[in-house]
Amino acid sequence: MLSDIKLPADLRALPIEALPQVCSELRQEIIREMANNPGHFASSLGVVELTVALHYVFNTPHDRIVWDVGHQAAGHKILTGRRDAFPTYRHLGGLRPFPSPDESEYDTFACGHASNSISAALGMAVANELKVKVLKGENVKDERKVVAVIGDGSMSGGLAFEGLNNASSTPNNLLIILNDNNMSIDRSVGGMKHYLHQLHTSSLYNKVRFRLANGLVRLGMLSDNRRQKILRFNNSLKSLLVGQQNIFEGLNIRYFGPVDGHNVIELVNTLRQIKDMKGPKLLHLHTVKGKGFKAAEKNPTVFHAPGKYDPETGKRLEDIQN
Amino acid sequence: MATGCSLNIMMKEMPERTFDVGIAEGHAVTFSGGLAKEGMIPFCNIYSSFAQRAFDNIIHDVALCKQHVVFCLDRAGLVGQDGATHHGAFDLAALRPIPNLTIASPMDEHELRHMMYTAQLPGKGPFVIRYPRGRGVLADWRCPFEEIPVGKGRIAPSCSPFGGVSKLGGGDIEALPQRGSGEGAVLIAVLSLGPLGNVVAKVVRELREEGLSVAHYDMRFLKPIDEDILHEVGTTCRRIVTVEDGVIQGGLGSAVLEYMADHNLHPEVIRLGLPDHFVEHGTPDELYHLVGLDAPAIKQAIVHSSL
Repeated sequence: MLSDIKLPADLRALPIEALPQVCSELRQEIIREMANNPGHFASSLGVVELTVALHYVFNTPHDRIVWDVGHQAAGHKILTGRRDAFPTYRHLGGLRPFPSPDESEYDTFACGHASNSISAALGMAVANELKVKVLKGENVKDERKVVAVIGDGSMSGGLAFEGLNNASSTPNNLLIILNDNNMSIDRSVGGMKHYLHQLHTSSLYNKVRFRLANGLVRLGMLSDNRRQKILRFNNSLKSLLVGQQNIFEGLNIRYFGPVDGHNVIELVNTLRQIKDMKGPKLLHLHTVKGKGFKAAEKNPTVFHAPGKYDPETGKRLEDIQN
Repeated sequence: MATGCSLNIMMKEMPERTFDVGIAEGHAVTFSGGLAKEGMIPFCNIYSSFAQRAFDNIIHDVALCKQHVVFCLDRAGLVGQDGATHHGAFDLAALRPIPNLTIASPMDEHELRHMMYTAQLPGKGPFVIRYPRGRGVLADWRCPFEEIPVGKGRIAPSCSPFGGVSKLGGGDIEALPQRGSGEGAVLIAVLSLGPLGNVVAKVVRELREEGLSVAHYDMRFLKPIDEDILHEVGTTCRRIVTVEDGVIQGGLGSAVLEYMADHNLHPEVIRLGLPDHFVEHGTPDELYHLVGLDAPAIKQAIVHSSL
């Protein structure tokens, strides 16, 4: 099935039921390719479903996906017309190690250093708002969606907080996807990690609220405008219920999740539900770094960039030689 | 933070096109990169010393992909009484090695206007304009916009030693005569970048009245640097004096030395700039005196061991 997907448009032509198969094939392709052509491995496996879901739901490259760091973009490159070139990944003159606008129109911004995705994507989202305003809505068809994908490891960088802070004060429709695998290269450290863990405990509340709000909107009982106003009240209510403030909602960024980042159908459905909502929003995903490759799941730090390995057994060449 | 850079005025006129991001220099730069990605031409206005916090953002999020962002770095040079933390001393040296950047420093308000106008013309790429704190030097800052050729310096205004028109364009000076071509040969060239050019101009006028043969160029751009001027002075003059309000290592003086070394030219090069230690607080006049960048010190450096 993967061989029929030359570009994301081909992916979007498939029925949603086909997506788990696409994910499975994409994952195997990454495992096979990177066994002999070493690269950032475990991160790419962790976002296979997210990558497929994003290109399925959003109209890329018109819609913008901004990867943070970009070492998780192997799947993204394979799905965006670079499958045949993938053996050249990271080689002189071949595909670049990270997304690069000089390489593909699907790569929206410079990648490599952590924590810049929210700021960059916010710039794009605000620019698009501005265009819509200047065009006075005459060209709304052209409105772009902008999605920033940031890992919990990058969330500890100060720039990410600067971006979040500004996202709450400038009109925009940015979607931030927090890919939370509790890892950067090593395990994530610090208060943010504990904080994100605690957020999981309030997931039932988030689910109930999300479904309720969606139901009301569908019934025409809740306009997007009114929902904005309710949000502040809602935040206080939630803080009261779970005994803590949600940092994102405290910044007026609507928080959704956590969602299982490896259930591609659920991901697609969630993304479809929230993508047209006005205002900045954040979807919190729970993923496993190295997902689908036992050796990498077991030892994600080593398999962040494992060198060559046996795609069947998971044994690393380096270990065998030693 | 809009008021410090006087952006409050613009915020009032164009509220939808002015963004106050708060104290978040890195974000200001990366956010500007995002705006530029969508075809906007943002003017990203930060104090020079605070922009140090956004060094990687300038490289990674703007220069690498040639995003058309115009950086207006305020309070370049010595700021005075805010002291060591606030001097805009490092911008020139820190930014010069970054590919794709254009780095400009205007001598006066008209030049600043022309540079800002030039920077937003199509295809200009990442463009840095750094300018000092305080008031300007001209009686009237208004003037019609003009495009300045990127990377071209000029004969500093009202500094003609001979009259006539330079082949380097724009000025009112003859092309420099060849070295040793006798009476009237220019022996010394002063190359300045930024507002200290006004001090240099005054000094050069005095020296000419005293009969010394001195040329004065306002380089305008640190990068790309005007190699035509460097070639001309390198092959014609016995001594070159560089004057800048940034740190002495890595800025204009260094660029001139590099050019001379790379082209096997051997004029005497005297570099004036900020010293290799942190400059403390005081009024700008006091501080420029202290670091040897006031008129008497510059004059002294030009004539010292005069040829």
